[in-house]
Amino acid sequence: MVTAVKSPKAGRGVKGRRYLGSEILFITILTVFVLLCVIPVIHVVALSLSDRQSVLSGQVTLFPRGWDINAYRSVFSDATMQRSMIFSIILTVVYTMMAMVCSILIAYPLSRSYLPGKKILMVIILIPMYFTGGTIPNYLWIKDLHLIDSPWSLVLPILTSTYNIIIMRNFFSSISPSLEESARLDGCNDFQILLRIVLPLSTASLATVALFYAVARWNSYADVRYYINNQSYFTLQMKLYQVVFNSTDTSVAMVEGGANAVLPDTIRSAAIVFSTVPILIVYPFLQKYFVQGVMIGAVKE
Amino acid sequence: MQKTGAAQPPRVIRYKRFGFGKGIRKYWMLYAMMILPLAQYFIFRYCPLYGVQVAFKDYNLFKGIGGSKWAGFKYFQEAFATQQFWDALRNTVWLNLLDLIFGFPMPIILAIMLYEMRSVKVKRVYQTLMYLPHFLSWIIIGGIVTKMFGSRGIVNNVIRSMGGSTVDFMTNSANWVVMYVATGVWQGAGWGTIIYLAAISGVNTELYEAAEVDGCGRFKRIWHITLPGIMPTIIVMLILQLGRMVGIGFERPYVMMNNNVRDVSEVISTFVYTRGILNQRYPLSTAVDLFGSVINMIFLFSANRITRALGGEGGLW
Repeated sequence: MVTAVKSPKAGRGVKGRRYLGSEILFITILTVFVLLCVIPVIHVVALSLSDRQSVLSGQVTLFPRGWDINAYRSVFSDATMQRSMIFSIILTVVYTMMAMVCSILIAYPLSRSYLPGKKILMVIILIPMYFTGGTIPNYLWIKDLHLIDSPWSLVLPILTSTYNIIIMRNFFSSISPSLEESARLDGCNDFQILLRIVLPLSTASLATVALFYAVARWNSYADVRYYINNQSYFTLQMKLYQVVFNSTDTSVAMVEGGANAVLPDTIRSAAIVFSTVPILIVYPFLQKYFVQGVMIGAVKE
Repeated sequence: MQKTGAAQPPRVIRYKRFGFGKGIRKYWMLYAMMILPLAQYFIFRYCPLYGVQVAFKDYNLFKGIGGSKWAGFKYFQEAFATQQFWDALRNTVWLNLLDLIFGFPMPIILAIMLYEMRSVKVKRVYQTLMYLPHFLSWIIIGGIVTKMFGSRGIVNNVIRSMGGSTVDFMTNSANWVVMYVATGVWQGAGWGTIIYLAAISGVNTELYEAAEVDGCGRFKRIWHITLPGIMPTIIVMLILQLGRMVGIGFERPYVMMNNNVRDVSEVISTFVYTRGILNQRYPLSTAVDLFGSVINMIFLFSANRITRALGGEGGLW
């Protein structure tokens, strides 16, 4: 259950002394990279919590200055923002559950080495990884199915991800076959084996794949842009795009005209933080699973 | 292959003797499970392929795809005759090439350094923080970048406070390209280490010990053992990336572009979006998209073929 990779044993014998120079070099480079990854996020959080003067004079760096949560008040009280948030949460939950069911139902049979026709089925699911219809044929097909402006256009076309299915399949096939045999002797059928034996043993990979599906849905923007014109089905990312990139967005203009005028920059930062929070909340809990889950998937590929 | 065959022979042989019909009867439940996902694949992955023919047709909204008249290569010729198409193609290849040069080696370097790091605790924290950007949407990343590097952003504030003059990171074409590539590295390099870390942990540790005994230094060990050990993975990742040279995601260029840098930021995906979905010029944009996919396939196949010809053990198939 080691999530971080083990270091090579060599060089460990003489503690701390050996390769000290290169160790310092590596740690320095990695630290710089990690700081670069984190600082922008911290800066935006700081901006969103700072007051007008500090933001205007450019004093805000990594810590909020002149504590002010009015930007969040504006974002939260904006009706369209609320609606997008609620819609995004429902969409992500429904999508993730459906995608998980769909992926398990194909990953499990494909993980059984004895299943006749497994190779052909693998080819069938691998081909779309390399050859897709492209934006317009997909769009015309969604249109023919009358799914334009329907929330299902954001769910059904992406219910399966070959990449996630392969991760899952590899995990399932790493489960000892003797467990399956004994369950079969006890009179379990394939479905019961999946439900009672395989799934309970696969929590790490299930958590990983569920996280991938949820994050992909939560973050996707292109399909909403392509398929949805109706404001009531705008996801949070779509709403965020309007707030962050369109200075003419009505909700921001409204807030700017308010009595304790909040800067649009602060509002935008608050909107960015607001839409990132759900991911930042689940991320640390799932992190220990997904490294393990992906590693197993990747190694066996 | 032989090993797995030896490990569990009775099963494999049994169904082969009885044939596929018996297999279906015996494993009907497993096949039944797959109906739903396979239907999804058929409806949403394979059916849209039928629409690719729009590229060769005078698409008529009322007659539908099947009923529209064939137009041959008319729309390809139309695309090739416009300067915007060549601009989009050039920008796509150019940005992908820079991504390849700067973005591809980064995760490999980071993964090796992470692996060599001694403190497991620090390593774990670093990994967690490095993966973070991968989980942010392009809208959020675009928002953060345009804010930080804008004329009133923190970077320019720092530059000015140190006595420099404002740099137009996002509105100058050359600077924008640098920002585009750097943002890509920032978002993907940490996450990209996972696959290489998995590959490194598969390298035989006895080799490291032998190298130690032979008096190999750290860098020699990395160069002579780690790198050759993960070379198959590197080659597979390289082939996959080469197979995407003419394809480009929509969201990253779309959120980062602005009107001042359209000459370098208009790429195939944004071209297809504006011509196809916004202006409803379906045949033209499908033709452009298809042209890109075909070149990608050529790249993918030839990269794979070259690797195999060079005797590399990698290769996709």
